[in-house]
Amino acid sequence: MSDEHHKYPGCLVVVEGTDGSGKSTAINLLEDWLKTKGYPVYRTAWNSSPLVKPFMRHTKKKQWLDKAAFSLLHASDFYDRLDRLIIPRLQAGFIVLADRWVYTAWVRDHVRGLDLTWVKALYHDVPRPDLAIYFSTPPDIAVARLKHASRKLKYYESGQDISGLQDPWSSFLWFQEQMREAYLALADQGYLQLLDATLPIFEQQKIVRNWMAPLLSRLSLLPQFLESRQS
Amino acid sequence: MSKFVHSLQPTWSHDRPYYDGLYVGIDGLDGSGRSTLALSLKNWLQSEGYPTVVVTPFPNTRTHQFITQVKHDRRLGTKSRHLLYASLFSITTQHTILPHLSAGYVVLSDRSWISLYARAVAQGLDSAWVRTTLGFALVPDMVIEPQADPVSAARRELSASDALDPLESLPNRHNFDGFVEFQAQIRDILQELKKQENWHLVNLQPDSTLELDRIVHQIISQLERSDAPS
Repeated sequence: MSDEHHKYPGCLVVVEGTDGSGKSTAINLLEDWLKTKGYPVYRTAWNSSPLVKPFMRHTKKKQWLDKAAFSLLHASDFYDRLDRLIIPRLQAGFIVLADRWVYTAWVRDHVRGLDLTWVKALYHDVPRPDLAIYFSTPPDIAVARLKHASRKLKYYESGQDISGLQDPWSSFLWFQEQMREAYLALADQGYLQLLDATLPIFEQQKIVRNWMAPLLSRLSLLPQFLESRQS
Repeated sequence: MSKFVHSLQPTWSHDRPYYDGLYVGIDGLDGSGRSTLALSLKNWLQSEGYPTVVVTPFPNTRTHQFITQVKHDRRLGTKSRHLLYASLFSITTQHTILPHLSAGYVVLSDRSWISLYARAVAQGLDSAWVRTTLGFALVPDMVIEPQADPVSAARRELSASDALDPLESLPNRHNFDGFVEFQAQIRDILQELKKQENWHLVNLQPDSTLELDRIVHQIISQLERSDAPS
C-alpha cells in the first residue's frame, strides 16, 4: 500500500475489526447519514467480487485453500473490486465506504503464517485510505455477540485451517485473539484509528462523524458534481 | 534420490524440505506443442518404468466449470486475473505437485511458474511484483522448451482449435497479428530467463524420436542426482 494518502477527488473510509465488533452496523449508519446529506456513496465489502466470489465460495467449501492460495485469491478479489468498482468512483468524487481493506489481509494472512513483507508486497500499489478505523472489541465480547445473533462459523472464518481445534468457537476465539494483537500493532504504527467498540453505538457514531468532518469539508467539488448529475 | 524443495522465494517454507521425484517445467509459447511433448515424455518415461504425471497450473476437472467461467470473464482485469491464476497454481502445487514429488514421481508441469510469469509480464504487469506473487512456486529441476517461432505457433494453434484464444493475444487485438506479437513478447521474456535456469531446448521437427530419447535420458540422469547429505 502506498505510504501517502491517495490523491483522488473522492474520499475513502475504511472500517476494520473482528467479526462481531459492530463495524457493519456502524457503516450502515454512516452510509444512511451521508446519503441523507446528499453525498454520492459507494459501499464495498471484503471478499465480494461478483467475478471471483463464486469460485472462492467453491474452494472454501471444499477446504482446498492452502495459506498462499487463500491469500492470492483474496488479493484477486480485492484487485477486481479496486480496478473496476472503487478507483473509478474515487476519480468521480464518491465517498467509498469499505468494510475491510488490505489490513484484513495483512493481519489474517500473517496470523496464518505468511511472511508479512510478502503479503504487503501483494498489495503494493493500493491507495491508502483517508480514514481507517479499527473497531476494537475484546474477542470474548465479539463471540458473545455472534452467538446471540445465532451465527454459524465457517471453517476458514474460525481459523480451523490453522488452529487444529475441532470446536469452531474455541478456534474462533483463539484466532480473533491473534488477529486483535496484529490489529493493535497496526494502530500503533499509525495505519488505523482505534475506536472503542464497546461504547454505545450512538457514541461510536458521534466519534466517527467527528473524524469524518474534515474529509467532508475537503469534498469542495461536490456541489458541482451533484449539479452535473442532475443536468 | 532426494532433492531440496526450492521455492521461487528462497525463504518460503514447505512442510517437507526434500522430495524424491523430479520436477520438470515444460514451458514455451502457446501453440509450441507443450502438451503434446508432455504426453510423449510421460508415455516414454512410464514405459521405462518411471512413475510420471502431467500437471497443468490449474486444479483438476472438479473445478473446471468454475475456472472456465471466471477465466473467460473479460471483465476481470490483468492483475486480478494473474492473482487468480497464481492462487490456482498454489492449490495445484500443494494438492498435486508436492504429493507426487514426495512419492517419487517425475512431475511434468505443462507450464511452470515460468509460463505464468512470462504471460503476466507480457500483459504489462511489473516483473518484480509478478515474481513476488509466485514466491510459493517450486523452481523446476529442469526446464524443457519446445522450440517454436511465434508464427508457426499461431499456425499450430489454428490447426488444433477453432479460434485463437483472446487471452493468448495482445489486449484488444484478438487476431493473428495480435497473437503473434504477444507470443513474440513471451519469447523475449523466456530468452531472458534462460540465462538463469537449467534449460533444455527441444526441436520436435521434423523427427521427434531422437530429441525425445535425448531428453528422456537427461530426465533420468537428473532423477539420480541427490541434494541430500548422505
